[in-house]
Amino acid sequence: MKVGPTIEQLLKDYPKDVRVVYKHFVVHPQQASIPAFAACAADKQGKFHQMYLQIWEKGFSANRNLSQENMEKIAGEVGLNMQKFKADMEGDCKKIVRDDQTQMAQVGVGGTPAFFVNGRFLSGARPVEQFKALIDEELKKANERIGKEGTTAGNYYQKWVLEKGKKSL
Amino acid sequence: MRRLGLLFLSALSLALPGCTRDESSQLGEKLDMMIKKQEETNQLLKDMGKGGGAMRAGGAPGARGGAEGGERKRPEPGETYAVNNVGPSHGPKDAKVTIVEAFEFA
Repeated sequence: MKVGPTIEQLLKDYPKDVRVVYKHFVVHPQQASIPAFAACAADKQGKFHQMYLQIWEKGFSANRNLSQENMEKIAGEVGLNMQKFKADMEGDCKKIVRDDQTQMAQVGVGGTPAFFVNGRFLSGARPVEQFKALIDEELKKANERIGKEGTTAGNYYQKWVLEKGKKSL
Repeated sequence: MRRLGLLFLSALSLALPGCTRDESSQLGEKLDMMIKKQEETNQLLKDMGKGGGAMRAGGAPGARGGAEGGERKRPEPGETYAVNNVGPSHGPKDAKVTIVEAFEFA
């Protein structure tokens, strides 16, 4: 969570221009698997961000209690349907977490946190200025490209990152 | 003497289940469930190891990585990678800059 405030700051400073997508990458499975499944299960009820913040605050930071029991307690406080939550944790979420892991490994992620800013790698909990420098570079490029060759803000990532970017290392 | 003791224990083990068949059966079911759970967990840990858990740390400040592994190719900072952007997100859908964060609760 060391980098959490940095990301929150970026979302505040670039309210229209920056979006953050979260991908699971479990390096310490014995500790981090259960909360990963819990966050995934919360996402299935549209409450990923609330659960994500609460797991850091009431699970990790408070006492490193990332047990199933504590995840269920937090899920209850977030207002999740508990039957669905438990079923998703045991079901789909195992595959979703595994798939995220595979996707990230394919593009060279080997530790957490790791970031890709419009596909460009930034490793570790860096100062906010380093993120901003990369974001500003990417914003400049995006502003030059949008409006040309059918590029819009909505399809920018698809056209310029997913279609033109390297698929693996 | 030792052989006699073994014979006695064998006889006892054959006789006891008859007295407590329900309990034994419940215990057996519980054991089966526990073994199944353990196997699932083992498989999951194994799969996660394949995906990246066994890789070397990134070496950047604040980055945590796996404990083992040889030389690993790392993404080049100047390159753009086609990083999948499907997943829970925060911020506008039509943002010009998308940050994909690989994270774990650790």
